[in-house]
Amino acid sequence: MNVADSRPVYVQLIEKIYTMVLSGQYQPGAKLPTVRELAEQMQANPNTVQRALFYLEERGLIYTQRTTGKFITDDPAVIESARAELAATMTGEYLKRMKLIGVGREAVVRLIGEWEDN
Amino acid sequence: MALIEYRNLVKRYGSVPALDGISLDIPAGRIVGLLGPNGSGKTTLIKLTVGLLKPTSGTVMINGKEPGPESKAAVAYLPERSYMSEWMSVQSFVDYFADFYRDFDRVKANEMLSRLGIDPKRTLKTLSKGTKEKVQLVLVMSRAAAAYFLDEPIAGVDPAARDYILNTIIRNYSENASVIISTHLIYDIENVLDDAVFIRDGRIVLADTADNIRENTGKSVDMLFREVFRC
Repeated sequence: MNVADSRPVYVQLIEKIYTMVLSGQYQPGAKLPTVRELAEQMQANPNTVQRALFYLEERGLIYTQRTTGKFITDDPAVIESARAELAATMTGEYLKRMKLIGVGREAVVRLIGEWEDN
Repeated sequence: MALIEYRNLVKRYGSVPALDGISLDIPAGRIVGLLGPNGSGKTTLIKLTVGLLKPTSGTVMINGKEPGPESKAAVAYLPERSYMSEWMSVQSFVDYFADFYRDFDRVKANEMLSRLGIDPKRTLKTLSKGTKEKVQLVLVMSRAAAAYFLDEPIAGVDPAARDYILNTIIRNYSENASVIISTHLIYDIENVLDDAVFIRDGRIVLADTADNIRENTGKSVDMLFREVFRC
């Protein structure tokens, strides 16, 4: 986790897990590591990890199987809506930064249209 | 009842006040950062909790008991300075801890040492500063204590040793125990913390969860600390 990012750590964790699922690092239906393992991997507080997982579970992105642990949903609709939600958040952040440096919406649209991946 | 309760705790060295009325509850299952510049009273607070110092006035309660043999059996303490004799071997320290503390888990200690690649036959004087710090942490974290007080565990170690120390704290996390870490190196530990307690001139200036601090101030704990303690 990035300390310089001043948002609450659980918010960053939620975003990170979203990204791992949406980028395919965690496949739909895959088993998640335990809270402790995740905490260690992300070098974060176990209670904070728990809080992030609780949020994701409420949203249906992950579910708990009583004896075997936590899994990523295999419901494509849930994953697609998570993708839409994260894309909207990231677009908002991007537009806010563009506005800050004086780049208006039309210029942004033009930039995106002209942008070439390299 | 909180795991640890401080009430109007005052400690003076002669006429010099080191702690000036500390009241704080630490519940079980938390990782707490005791954060303040040098000389703010962090070590004094820890020494009062582990029973190495007596308060001038006020109380410390650990599981409802004042510091004494019973509380010492439930509290693990990593001092700021090493108290280990240089001529002793790592193995003899493991034996020493096993003799001393009923809650010491020898198997766990040996596992951690072997994962670190530390030969138990080596004497302390042949180990680097960072390795010594790791050995002491392994001994302390191999106890099944109710509270772990780590006084400046990451000062002066390299980033890899720091990661090891933080991961050891995370790996040993239990909802029945709390870990209290004193440091002025907040950036390095902030993401591991549940709670942050800012201490200055022997007084608490802020005590809140790390998430609340970020949510309410829009700043990381490290940024807020730099602001509060700006010289």
